[in-house]
Amino acid sequence: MAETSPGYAPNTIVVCVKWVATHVHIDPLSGVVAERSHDNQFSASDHAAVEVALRTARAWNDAGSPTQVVAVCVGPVDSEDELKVLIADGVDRAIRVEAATHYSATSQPTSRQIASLICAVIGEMTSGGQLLVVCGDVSADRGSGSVPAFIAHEIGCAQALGLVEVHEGDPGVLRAMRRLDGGRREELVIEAPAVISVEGAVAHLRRASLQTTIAARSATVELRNAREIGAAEPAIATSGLGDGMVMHPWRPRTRIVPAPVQPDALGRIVELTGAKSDRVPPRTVTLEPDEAARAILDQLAEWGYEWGQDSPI
Amino acid sequence: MSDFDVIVVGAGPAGSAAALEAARAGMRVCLIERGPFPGAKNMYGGVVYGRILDTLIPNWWEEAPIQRWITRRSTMVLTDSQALTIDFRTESWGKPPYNGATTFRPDFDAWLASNAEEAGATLICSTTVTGLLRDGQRVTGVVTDRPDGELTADVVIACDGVNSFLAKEVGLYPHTDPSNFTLGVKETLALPREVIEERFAVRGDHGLDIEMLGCTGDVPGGGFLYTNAESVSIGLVLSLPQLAKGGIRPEQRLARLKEHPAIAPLIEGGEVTEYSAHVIPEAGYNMMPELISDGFLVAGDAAAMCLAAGIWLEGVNFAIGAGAAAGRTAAGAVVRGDTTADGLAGYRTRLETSFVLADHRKLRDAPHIVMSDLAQQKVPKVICGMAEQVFTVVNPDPKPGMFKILWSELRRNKMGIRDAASHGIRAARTFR
Repeated sequence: MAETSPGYAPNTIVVCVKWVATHVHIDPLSGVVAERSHDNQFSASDHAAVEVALRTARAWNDAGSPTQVVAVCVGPVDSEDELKVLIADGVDRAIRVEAATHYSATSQPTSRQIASLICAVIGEMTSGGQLLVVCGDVSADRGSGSVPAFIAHEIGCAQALGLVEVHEGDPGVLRAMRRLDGGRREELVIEAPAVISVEGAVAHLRRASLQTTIAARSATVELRNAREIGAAEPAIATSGLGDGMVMHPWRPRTRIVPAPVQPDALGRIVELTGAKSDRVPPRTVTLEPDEAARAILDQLAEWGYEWGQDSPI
Repeated sequence: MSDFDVIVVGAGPAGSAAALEAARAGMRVCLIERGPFPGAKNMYGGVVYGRILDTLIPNWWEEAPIQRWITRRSTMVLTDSQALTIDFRTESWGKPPYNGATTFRPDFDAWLASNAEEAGATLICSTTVTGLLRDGQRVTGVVTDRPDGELTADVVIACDGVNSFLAKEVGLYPHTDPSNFTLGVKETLALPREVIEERFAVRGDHGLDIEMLGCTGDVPGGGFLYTNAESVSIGLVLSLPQLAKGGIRPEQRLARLKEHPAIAPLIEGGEVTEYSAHVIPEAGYNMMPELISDGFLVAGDAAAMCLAAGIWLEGVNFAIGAGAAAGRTAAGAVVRGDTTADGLAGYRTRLETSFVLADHRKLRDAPHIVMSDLAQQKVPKVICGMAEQVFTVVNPDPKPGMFKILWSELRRNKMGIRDAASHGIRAARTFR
């Protein structure tokens, strides 16, 4: 059994849920991105996180270690109805953090800022038990899944991200499976305090009974203001972009390749792919990040990729 | 004691109006919606006539999610290559208290339900009512698809839409005749606001409503085109049995309408953003079920209260009117402690003294007249043929007389004068 970490009691499982547009409407004529409030909800992976939290809390409670589940959402007031649904599902408390920043498909706070707000809320729950933070691994709006890592960094605890299986153990302990590259899996024993993130297929969120659903309609979603809890007001990550513009990952421009001269198709393919040409063998270099980035750019330039004045590099 | 005084099934216009009125009367009201939010499954894209809202939500036009206020109303009679349009516009419909408006029902229904919630109703979404609780013949509550999903109430108001399973379960629909139903299919086409203003001669938040006859080929029905803020809704309403026999899919028929020379220029360049279909209770008064049972009322499309009377195509206002009457009646019955069928009989009285049943009864023959072979196949050809003859200059011959033109068109379209006269008299009686 894990040691009891100071500062949290009873045990607290914090579930972080993101209010996200599941459908983004792109005007086919103007390309303007719009979203309707009706289309926002919590992602499947967030629902899985809630279910994992509820199962874990039940196991820990059954083992005689009182545990509460707290759902935290940094989102607009529209999210409160769905937070009440989570209360109906069994979450003990739901907290909405009002960041007073407009969230949309084109402008969102950064993961670090979201994590900072969540950690400020977690900081309120200080009294002696175990702490476990459960998140969905990736939100439906192609999120990076980096909020859990920032939370773990800020709290200073272990992190186990991208879990494909979670089994609750003794109070303060989870057993989990993590996905690795190449189809491999890694079994983990996770001891609280910890931050985990789970894939959507890990668990299917239970369906609340009718009576609890009705009761939850009059439940209170606690409200926190970013300024009042001492966290910095998130700036908009994509500020500076106009309406209808979104950030894309940078991709090098297409390089110009001379037309192949071989008469037959196979020859042209061989020539284009350079399959039989002399080539520089792969090499492994160990560099500091700045030097590594520079080396990558130099190599790209050597291969013929070019970028102009408008390039972000 | 029951869990609630009143349970309303379905948070469409009828259901939300019922919940709103019952909650305002001090009832404990539960409004159950199967979708994740009111209006979630809706495909409607038509005109809402809001006069009935005046009594429910004062100055509703200041907060309702409206796309455009209808200030132009056109009726278009089509043949394969002809079109005759009667166009009316008035600026008085473009200012309070307005007349009709286009709206997206996911927005409109959510707004109306929020008013019911503010009045005190408990809205439960993502919950499907799968059956009724009964004590003998008396309805005592509902069964839902949630765990422990039973809920009791003194009165259940079924606003569960066309093909109401709840009304059938109570036995209010003794039989279902497919010929009483039509299938509505609709596309929403995105068009820039300025293009809509230019093509449809409207400005600002004013809009146009076009109703069409003669555009559905060999299947009885009609067509429509409504302007939204930055899109148009175009669609067909098609007789269900004839559609099934015809062998041509509804979207193919809609594609033909979009290619019609009178329609194509109006929608050119529009990008399809939505296609949807929905069954409509077309036959109105003649297909209405019994509206009342012990502890049970039925309203809206569930009670076939959609008015499809040719020049009048209305549904949402009838649903709201019926729902509000059901909510008030249920509240009164609960207060009196008599929720039997006799105790709820005031519901029908309220409807009969309002436009809801008064209009339906008066226009009870209209759906048959409009959907008849004469009106669908021959009248459009005669009207368009006459218009073409009247406006065709035949010099050096002298202009033919109107009766001669009428006679020649009747003969050309094999429409007997007796048929035309009897049909005209029947229509005159219905619409008098």
